[in-house]
Amino acid sequence: MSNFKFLDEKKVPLLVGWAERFLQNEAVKETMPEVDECVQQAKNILASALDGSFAGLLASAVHCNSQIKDIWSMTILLFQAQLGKMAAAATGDVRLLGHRMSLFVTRVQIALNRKKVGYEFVQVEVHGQKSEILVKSNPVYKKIPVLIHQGKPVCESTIIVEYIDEMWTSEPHILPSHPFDRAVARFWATYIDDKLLALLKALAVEAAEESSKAETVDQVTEVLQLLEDAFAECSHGKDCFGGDTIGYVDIVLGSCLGWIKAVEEMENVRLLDEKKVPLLVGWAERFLQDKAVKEVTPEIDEYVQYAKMISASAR
Amino acid sequence: MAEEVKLLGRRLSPFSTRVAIALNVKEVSYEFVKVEIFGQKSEILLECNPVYKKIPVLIHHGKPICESMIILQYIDDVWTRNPSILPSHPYYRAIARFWVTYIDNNLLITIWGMMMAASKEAAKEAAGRAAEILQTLEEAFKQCSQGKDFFGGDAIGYLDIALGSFLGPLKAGEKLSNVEIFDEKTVPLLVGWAERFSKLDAVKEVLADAEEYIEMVQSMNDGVPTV
Repeated sequence: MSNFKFLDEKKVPLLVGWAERFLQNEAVKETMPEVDECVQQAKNILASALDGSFAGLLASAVHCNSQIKDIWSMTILLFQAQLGKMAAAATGDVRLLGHRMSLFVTRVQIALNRKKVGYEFVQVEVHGQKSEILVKSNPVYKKIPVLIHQGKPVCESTIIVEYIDEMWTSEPHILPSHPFDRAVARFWATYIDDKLLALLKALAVEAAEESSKAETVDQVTEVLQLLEDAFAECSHGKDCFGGDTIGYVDIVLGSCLGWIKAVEEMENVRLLDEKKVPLLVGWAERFLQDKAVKEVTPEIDEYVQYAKMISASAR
Repeated sequence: MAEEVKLLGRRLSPFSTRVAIALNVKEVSYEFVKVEIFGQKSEILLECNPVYKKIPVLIHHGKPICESMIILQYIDDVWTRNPSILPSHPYYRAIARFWVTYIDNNLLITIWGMMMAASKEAAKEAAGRAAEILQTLEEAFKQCSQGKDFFGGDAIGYLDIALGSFLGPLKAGEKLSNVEIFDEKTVPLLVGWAERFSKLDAVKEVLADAEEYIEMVQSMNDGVPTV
C-alpha cells in the first residue's frame, strides 16, 4: 500500500530469509490471509471508521512517495490528518439559535468565543409567532438558546456551556478541573439561576408598587452579597471566579451584568455598590472588557430600550 | 483506604435517595446521617448548607457538596471506576442533563400536587399535568435507552436515578388522589423500566415505597410529618 520496502534484503537479510521460510510453513500458510486480502481489509476499515474523505486522504498520502521519506514522516502525516479530521468534525456546522438581547444566549456566545469556535448566529423570533426552526429543535420548551452541532440540538444555556467545554477540550477550560471545584462552580451557577434571575426580571419588566420594588432591590443586594463571598471563595485571590481565566460561574453571572446595570439605571439604584461588593465590582469591570465578552454584550441603553418594549407589550 | 463519606439526608427525601443510589452504584461506603429538616433543622445541616439549609449534603474529606444532581456528578468525577453515572459522549450527557432539568422543573411539583391536594379538582389537575409529562418522558425513554433496559442503556445512569427516586412519591400520589397515570396502557416502557429499576441491588434497600410516603402524608400535622 505504501510502496515502502520494510523487509529489505540489504537492511535485514536474516529476517527476509526467515520470513520466506515462515510463510512456507503448512500451519502458517493455511491461516495467513493473502497480501491482497489485507490491503482490501485495511481499505474497508478506513472507509467505514472514518468517512470517505479521510480514506481518500490516507490513500493519497500512502501513494505519494515524494512526500513520505520514511515510516516516521508517514506516521506523523497520518496523525496530523486524523487530528485535522477530528477538528473539522468538531467545529464544522455549529449554529446558535438566539436573540442578541437574551442573556442566556450571551452565555453560549461567550463560551463559543472563549473556545474560538466559529458558528453561525441565527436570530429567531421568540415573541409572538416563534420561528419554525426553534420549534423544531426545541419542541419541549420552544426557547432559546439552542446550539445545533452536527445537526443535533442542545438546549438550556448552562447545559450548552458544559457541552461546549466537553466537546472542545482545548484550553481555556470552562469548568474547573478538580471535582470539588466543579461542584462548587455548578452550585453557584444553580444559585444564580434560582435566585437572581427572577428578581432582575421583576425589576426590569414587571410593573410593581414602589414598596415592592424596594423589597426586590433589597433581595438582589442580599444575593450579590452572597456572591461577593462566593467570589472570594472561588477566585483564590485571582481575577475571576474561575481563577486566572473566565470560567463557568463568570459566564453565568457575567451574562447578567447587562441587565443588572440596566436595572440600576431604570430604578435609579446602585446594585453593584463598591462599598458593599467591591470584589464583584472589580470583577465585573474586568469581565466586560474581555474580548470574548465585549463583542456579544449589548450596551446598557439597548437593554433599557428592550425592557421598555417588553413591559409595554405586556400591558 | 477508608475515605470519610457522609450523606446528610432522610430516607423519605427522594433527593437524598438519588445520592444513596449513586453511592451504591459506585460501591462507595458511607455513613448515612439522618437530619432534622422540619421545625428545628439539625445544626450540622445548617453548617454544611448555609445557603439553602436543605438535604442532601454529601460530606467528603470534610467538605460539603450540595444539590442532588451536582452531588451525582461529583460522585461520578471522583469515583471514576465503572459503571459511569453520566454517559461518556458530550451529546448524550447534554441529553441526560436536559431531561433531569425537565423532571426537576416540571414533574416534581405535579407529584407533590397529587400527594398534597386539598381538593378533588386540584388532585385531578395535578394528575393531568403529570400524565402529560410522563408521556413526554415515555418518548425520552425511547430516545435514550435505544432499546435497552434503562435510560442509561444497559446499566442505570444519571437520568434513571433522577427519575427513579421519585417512583415512591408518584405511586403514592396516584393512590392519594385516586387517579391512575403510571400504567401499562399509557406509559408501557416507563412501567417496565420502573419494575427493573426497583429490583436492582443498588436501589431496593434505599428506595422507599408508596406505602411509606402515604403514611408520611397521612401523619402530617400542619404540613409537617410526624413519622
